Amino acid sequence: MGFLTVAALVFSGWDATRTRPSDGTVWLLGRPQLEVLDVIDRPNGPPTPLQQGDIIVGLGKSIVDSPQSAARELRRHEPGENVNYLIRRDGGQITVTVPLTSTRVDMQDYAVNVVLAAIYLVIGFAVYLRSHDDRPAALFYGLCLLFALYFMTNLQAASYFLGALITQNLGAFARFMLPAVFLNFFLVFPTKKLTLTRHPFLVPLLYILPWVLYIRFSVDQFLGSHGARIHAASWIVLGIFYVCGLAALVHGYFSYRDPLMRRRVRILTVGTLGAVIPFLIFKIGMEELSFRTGLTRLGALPLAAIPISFGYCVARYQVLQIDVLLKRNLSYALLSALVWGGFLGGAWWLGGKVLTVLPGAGPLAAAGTALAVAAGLWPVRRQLQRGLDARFFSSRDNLAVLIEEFSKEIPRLIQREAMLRWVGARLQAVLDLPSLAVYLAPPGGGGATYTLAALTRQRLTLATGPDDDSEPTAPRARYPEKLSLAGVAPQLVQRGEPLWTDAPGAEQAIGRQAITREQVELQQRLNEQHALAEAGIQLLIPMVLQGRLVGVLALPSRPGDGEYQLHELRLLSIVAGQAALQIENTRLYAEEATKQKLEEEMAMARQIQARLLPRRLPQAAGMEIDAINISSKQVSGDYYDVIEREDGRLAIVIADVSGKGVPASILASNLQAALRAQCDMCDSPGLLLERINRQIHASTDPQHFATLFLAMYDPATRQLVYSSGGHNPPLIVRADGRRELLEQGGLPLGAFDFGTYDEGHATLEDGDLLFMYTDGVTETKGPDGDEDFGETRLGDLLYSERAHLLADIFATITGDLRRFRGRDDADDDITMLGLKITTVEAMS
Amino acid sequence: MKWIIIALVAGVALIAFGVMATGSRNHGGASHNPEAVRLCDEGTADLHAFRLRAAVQKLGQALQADPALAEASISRTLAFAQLGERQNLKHELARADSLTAAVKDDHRRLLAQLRLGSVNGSRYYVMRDSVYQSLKVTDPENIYMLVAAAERAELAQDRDEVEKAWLRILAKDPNYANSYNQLGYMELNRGNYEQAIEYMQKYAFLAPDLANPHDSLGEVYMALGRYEEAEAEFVKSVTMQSDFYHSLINLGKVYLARGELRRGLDILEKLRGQVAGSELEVRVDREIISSYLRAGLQEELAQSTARFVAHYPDQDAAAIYRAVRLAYLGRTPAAQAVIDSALAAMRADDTYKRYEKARQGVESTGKQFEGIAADLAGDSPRAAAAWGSALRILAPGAPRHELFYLQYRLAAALHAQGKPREALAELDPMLAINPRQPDALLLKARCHRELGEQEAAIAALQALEQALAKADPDLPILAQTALLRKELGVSTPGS
Repeated sequence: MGFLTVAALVFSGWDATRTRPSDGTVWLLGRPQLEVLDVIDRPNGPPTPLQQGDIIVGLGKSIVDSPQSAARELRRHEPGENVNYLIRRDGGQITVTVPLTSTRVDMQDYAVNVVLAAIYLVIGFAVYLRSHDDRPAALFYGLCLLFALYFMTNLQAASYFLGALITQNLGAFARFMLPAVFLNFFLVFPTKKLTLTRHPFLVPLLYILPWVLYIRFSVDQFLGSHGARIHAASWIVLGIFYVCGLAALVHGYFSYRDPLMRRRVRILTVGTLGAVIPFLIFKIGMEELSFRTGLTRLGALPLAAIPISFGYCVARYQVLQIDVLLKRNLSYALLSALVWGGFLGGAWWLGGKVLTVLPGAGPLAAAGTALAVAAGLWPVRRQLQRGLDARFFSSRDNLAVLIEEFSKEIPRLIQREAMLRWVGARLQAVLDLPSLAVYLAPPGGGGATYTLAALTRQRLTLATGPDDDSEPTAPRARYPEKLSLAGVAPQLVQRGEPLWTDAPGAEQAIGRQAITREQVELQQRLNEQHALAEAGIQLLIPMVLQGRLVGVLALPSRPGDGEYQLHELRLLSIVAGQAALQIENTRLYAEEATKQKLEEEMAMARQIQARLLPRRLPQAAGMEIDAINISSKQVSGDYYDVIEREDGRLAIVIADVSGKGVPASILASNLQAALRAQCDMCDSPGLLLERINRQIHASTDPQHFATLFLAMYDPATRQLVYSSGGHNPPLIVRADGRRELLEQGGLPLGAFDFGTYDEGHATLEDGDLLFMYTDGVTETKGPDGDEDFGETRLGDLLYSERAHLLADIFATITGDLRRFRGRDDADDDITMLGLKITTVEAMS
Repeated sequence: MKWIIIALVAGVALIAFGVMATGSRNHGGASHNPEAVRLCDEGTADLHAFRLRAAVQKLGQALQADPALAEASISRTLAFAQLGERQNLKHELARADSLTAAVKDDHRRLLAQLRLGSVNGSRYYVMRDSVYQSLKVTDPENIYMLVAAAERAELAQDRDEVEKAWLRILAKDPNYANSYNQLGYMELNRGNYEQAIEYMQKYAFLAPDLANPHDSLGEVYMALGRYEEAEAEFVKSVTMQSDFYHSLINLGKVYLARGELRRGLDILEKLRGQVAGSELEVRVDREIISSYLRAGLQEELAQSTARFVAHYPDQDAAAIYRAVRLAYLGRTPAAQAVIDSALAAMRADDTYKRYEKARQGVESTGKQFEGIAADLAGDSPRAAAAWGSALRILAPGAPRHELFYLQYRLAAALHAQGKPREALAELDPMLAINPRQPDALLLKARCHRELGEQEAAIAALQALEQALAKADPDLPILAQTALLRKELGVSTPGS
């Protein structure tokens, strides 16, 4: 779009400054004959004797039947000549002599317009080059291009020539589109108006009317019944757009509660008002609507205030995020001009040389040669300009290098503190900062108090003033351990832009006691800013990640007049973003490491537990023994065993060790070792548990304990002696359906170093079922997590299934548990151990 | 490196394009100096626009720049032919003939031969028909072919084809001046006077330094009775070209039509002296005779016709004038014998047999004589019948303004018959075209008086007086006007 506009501007300028003869008439392309549709004023020549409605039949020495043939004939003459016209008027043909004037615009007026257009172009391109992806910047860029187009075309008068027609149309396009873009711009600048956010369809709606008016003008220009002019109604509509744009600007200005923002926009507001109001009065009101001429300068000159005010704000406040153009020094401009001059001069000279060897080459060949030579020299010019840019804007060149360096280094530093220290030190070095601090949000993300996470060493920076007195001029920043950013955090997150703390006091800003919530928030923010400024912190660079303010880089004031430059702010913002990401990465890394460690432990625990459990259970005639252990993801330390004593009795054990993972497994392992070692040496389960309790308590922490059920069963007599160390009481389901709980015993093992364990006795009969289990069975939760599976359900299930084999009973219970919790995986280990008395016949 | 190669390729392409677009124009396969070609084109355009001097100059420059440019030599030849500069024509024609023979491209050579074939004396004159037939197949819409087609249609008196051809020429080149001239005359002959003026004005605009357009334009004005405008055009014409005798004759006719008999005859007499011995002398004499006849100056008429008969005894017109003279002398049988003999001779001529217009002219002449004889004999019904017949014979092909005299004589005969209403029916249409015809106005006034239409009669009388405002004081019609004024009871102006 920019290149097209520049091409249009160059064409308009070339066309407007060409000396071409004019007879003072306007014609239309779409007309079958050369009818004089309008007679234009010729301030620089005598009035034309041609009248509106005349049909031009002959011109000069030719009969003409089209605008093209008329233009062709007219080109044979010079301004100032008197040319005979054969015209049809009032039904007859007459010959009149027309003094020709020039279509060239008044150069003095045009020079003013060219300067204005150049100002707009420079500012527009600067904005585009720095922030082309920013919506207001893009609109401002478009506005500048349209203004430039307007200035370059608004003095061009209509004539026979196609070039003038094109220029006129371009000018009309600029006139119609300018007000809409103007209004649109002030609806989104500096911040998008709420109305536009609520009604996004307003934007396309804005452009419909100008497009309609422009199309109508173009149709008039080609097919109309008179000379194409922008009608009064159209001017009024366009004027209303301008007024609305100004209203949006003024409304925006007065709606800012933030004094800093107001200060930034004030100059813009004044400049724009000062520019557009004279334009509305003199150009639209008096010249276009009242047909008073000679007011061009009064209407156009003030328009320079728009780019100038923007330029000032750009330089002072970096509005629209563009660099300080004024800091480009004269040497750079001169050397750049020299490079361009050399390039164009070289192309011209070489092109001329090439043409000398091409006899009879026409203008097209000359143009082609010049272009070819220019294209050939382009790489040379580019290299020279690059060198120049690198010389004058080394910091900007370095920016890319630094960004690359930070991008490479930050991800390598997986230790958060190390990373922050490195980032701080490096930024301090490359930006020549007196100091820099990094504050981080609390680990959980809640709260608005940020903790000092890294602080570089305070460095003495010397300021070089105009008198070359080298002395430290900036006070040392005092970085508090904690920063409260509740007020500024939302703004930092929302805008993602650096925040300057140089705000006036809250009372001064608000002017009265804060009443509304908005005022309270503003007061809080200003207070925080004030506190930061008091501490010597001038700038906060937000570290935002996924809409969260992870932390901030706090920067002090620079000594002297050393303001932060845009490229420095860009670097800081980029680094802050990278650091925020890396902070998140380090957190995730730590989490991952922990998780990995846990998984390794679990694997180990699972391995230990697998070794604890007997691979095969002893079997004897008249009874069935079976067990099942289903491990959860978190290995919980369930344990069971059936040990064949030397006296023929079976020691049956089931235990559940507190805790998870390896510690639980180790405890279970200790239990197994103790039991296996002492099982043959003691006939009393209660006594045995008492001993083991003391051993376990002595070798483990008090918080680690185990519940355990131990029974001695004599297959010959079917007598069962048991004792429970706090374990879930096993169940005997008799063949006739009666249920008995085996509850005798004492405290869990390992919790205390004292305690005795009572013993219980039971005699098992044919068909009786002894069922032992861990709490993973009865404490299985339902889908909503409120209800346990419970002993009752288990008892009922055992009652109904008592006649089946143990493996089938386990399968039924497991299935019911799965259905009860509503998913496959269990939260806790499930262990079931069963002893069922059978007759020989039944077994067979 | 990549950029340099791209730039070089682009440069070469652009240069090639530029050279193709603006380089030498290829005239049928042979390269010519572009400047010479440009001058040739401009010179030819001037030739088409009848800017003959400018054409000769530019074409001469073109030939200096490129002596082998046949088209320039041909156009220059045609320009000299139009200018009537025989010596220059002869030299340029020789060169054009040679260059044309050397043209290698067949089509281009045929076109050159076609153009030169229109010049009597060119070696291609005799082969113009075969060239025309060849090009009619290959390039029928070429402008030179269209010109040739128009000329052929003109010879065949195919008016429609003539008009179509000239209009097609204009569509191809709006500056082809002769088209306007031809089309203007066609419109004039049709009685579309305003259209004719527009064409003639365009013709005059294109060739502002040429006498002919102004003469043509003046003729149209004269037909409409816009004598002052006609006079201005004829004066322009004569000023531009002092030997443009047509304009001098027409200028004399303008004065005669306004009743400035002495002034008009003075011009004609002087012109007669200048053109003595040429073909124009006959025309001048005929105009003089015609003027005397219309003015009713019997004595001068008798002298001038006697002189004509003596000077041009072999002219057809001489026999007619002799018969008229005899009729005016009262020797009607002798007059009749003379006219019969003359008409018989005319009818025996080949032209009479070939051309309708010639037949119309001969038969109308016979009727006109019959009308004159009847008028002289006071036999107004016969006269009316004769003048009516003469009018009807000529009417289909003749321009209306050329029939005014016959129409007037018919009206006069009808009036003499006591049929003023019928006479007015003849007079009014001719006065609508040219309201400044003194005889017709006088007769109209009389008719209205006889019909008791006093106001109309006075209006006609006033128009007559305005038409004769510049007339010689002793012009006979002025006496009749005064008499009529008295009869109408209108006071003399200024009394």
